[in-house]
Amino acid sequence: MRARGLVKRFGTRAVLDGVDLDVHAGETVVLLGRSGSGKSVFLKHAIGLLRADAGTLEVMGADVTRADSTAWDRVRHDVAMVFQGGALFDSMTVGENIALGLRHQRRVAPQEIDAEVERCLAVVGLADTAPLRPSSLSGGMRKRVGIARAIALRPRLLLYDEPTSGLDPVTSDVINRLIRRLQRELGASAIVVTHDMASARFVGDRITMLHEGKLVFDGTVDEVDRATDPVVRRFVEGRSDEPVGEAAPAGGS
Amino acid sequence: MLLGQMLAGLPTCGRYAGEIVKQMSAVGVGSLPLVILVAIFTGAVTAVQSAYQLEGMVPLRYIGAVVQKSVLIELGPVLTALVCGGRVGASIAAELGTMRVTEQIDALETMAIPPVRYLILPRVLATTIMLPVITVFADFVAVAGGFVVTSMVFDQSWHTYFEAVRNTFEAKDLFSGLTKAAVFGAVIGLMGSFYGFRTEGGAEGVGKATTQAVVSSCVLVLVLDYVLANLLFRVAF
Repeated sequence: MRARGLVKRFGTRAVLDGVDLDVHAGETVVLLGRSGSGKSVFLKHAIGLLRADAGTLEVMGADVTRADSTAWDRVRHDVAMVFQGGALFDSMTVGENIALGLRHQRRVAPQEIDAEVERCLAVVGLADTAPLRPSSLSGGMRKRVGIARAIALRPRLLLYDEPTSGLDPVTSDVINRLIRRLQRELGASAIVVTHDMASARFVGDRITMLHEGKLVFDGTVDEVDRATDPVVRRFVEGRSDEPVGEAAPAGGS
Repeated sequence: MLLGQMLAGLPTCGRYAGEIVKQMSAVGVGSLPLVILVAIFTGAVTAVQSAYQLEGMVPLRYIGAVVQKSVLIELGPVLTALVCGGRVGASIAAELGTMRVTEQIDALETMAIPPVRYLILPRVLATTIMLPVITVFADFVAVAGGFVVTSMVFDQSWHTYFEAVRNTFEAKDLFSGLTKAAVFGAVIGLMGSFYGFRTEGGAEGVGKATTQAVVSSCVLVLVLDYVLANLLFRVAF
C-alpha cells in the first residue's frame, strides 16, 4: 500500500493532512496516535470506506484514489479488516459470520465452507464456537471471531483497528501473539492501529505515528524508543503535559 | 440514489433469495396477529357506524355491502399499511441503524458485499410482496368482524349479510386495494431502510431514525392513498 499526500477533511478540520505512508509486502506497520489523531480514518481509506479529498492511494498495486465501488470490490478480495468492536453480524451465528464472505466471494466450494469455518475458528483458538451467537461471546472472543472472519478470505493485506482496546492484559497478549503468528503463517502485510505501546512493540516491524493529521514518526521499534521528538516521547512514555482541569470540589463530611 | 442502487440490483436479487424469504417471513408471519386484531375491530366498527349512518335511508340488509366496499377499497389496505408502517418500518430502521452504528454495514462493504443489495433490496421486496398478502387476510377478517357485530347487535342472519357482500363484490375493488397495499409496502420498506441506513450517532441516532421512518411511512401512506384513489378510480376505472 502506498499513500502520498493523503488529505481528509471533516468540515474545516483536516483529520489527515498530507499523509505519506508505504506498507511493503509481508510487513506489519503499527500506526500509533492519540484518540482523534486520524488513525482509524486512515485505515478506512485503505479499504475504501472513506474517500480522500486530496492525495493518491495505491492498494495492492491498483490506484484507488478515484476508484468506483466495482474497482474497490476487486481490491477488497485481497484486503480484510478487523474492526474495533468486532462488527459481527448479530443476526447470525459465529459460523455464519465467517461463512458469509466465503459464500459471497465464492472462494471455496459450497460443500467445503463448513470445514473452512472450523479451520479458521481453530486458528484463533475458538474451535466448536460456530453455533454460538455473537451476543454470548466475551470482548476478546468477539475480536478473535473478527480475526477469523478476516483471515477466512485469505487476504494479502490485513487491517486491524485497535485490536487490543478494552481487553485485559492477558487477553491482549493472546491477540498480540495471534497477530504475530498470522503474519508468519499467512505472510500477509498488516496495518495495526493502536495506542497500546506494549502491543505496538510486540507486533510491529515498523512503527509510525500520526499527530494532528500528520505522520510525525516512521521507524523501527528500537528507533521509537530513542526518538527525541517531544510528541513521540510523550506518547511512548504515556505522559501528558496538558493541565487535567479544575480542582474537584472538596468533599463534604 | 438509494432507490437507483436498489433498482440496479434487481437483476441480481436471485442471489439473495434466502435473505428475501427470511424477510418475507418476518414481515408477513410477524405482522399477522396484530393485523388480524386490528381488522376484527375495523370490520366491527364499520358495521356499527354504517348502521347508524344508513338508518332510515337504506335498509340494514345492505350493511354487508358497505362493510365489504369500505374494507376492500380503503380500510383494509390503509389500516394494514399503518400498522405495518409502525411495526415493520420501525423494525427495519432500528435493525439497519444498529448495524450502521456498530460498523456491521462497513464490515459488509469490506467483504465486497454490496449493502444496498444484501440489506435493502430483500427488505423492500419483502414488504412490497407481503403487504398485499396480509391485506387479503385483513379484508377477510374485517368482513367477518362486521358480520359478528351485525349478527349480535342487529340480529341479521349469516345469509342476509353475505348475500349483500357477494352481490356488490367487484374484482376491481379488490385489485385497487391490493395495488395500494403493494405501493404502501414499498414505501414502508424504503422509508425504514433509508432512515436506518443513514443513521448517525449511536443509540440516540437509532431512536431518531426509527421515529423518522415510522412518521414518514405513515404520512406517505395517507398522501399516496389520496393520489392512488384518484389514479385508480378516476383514471384507471
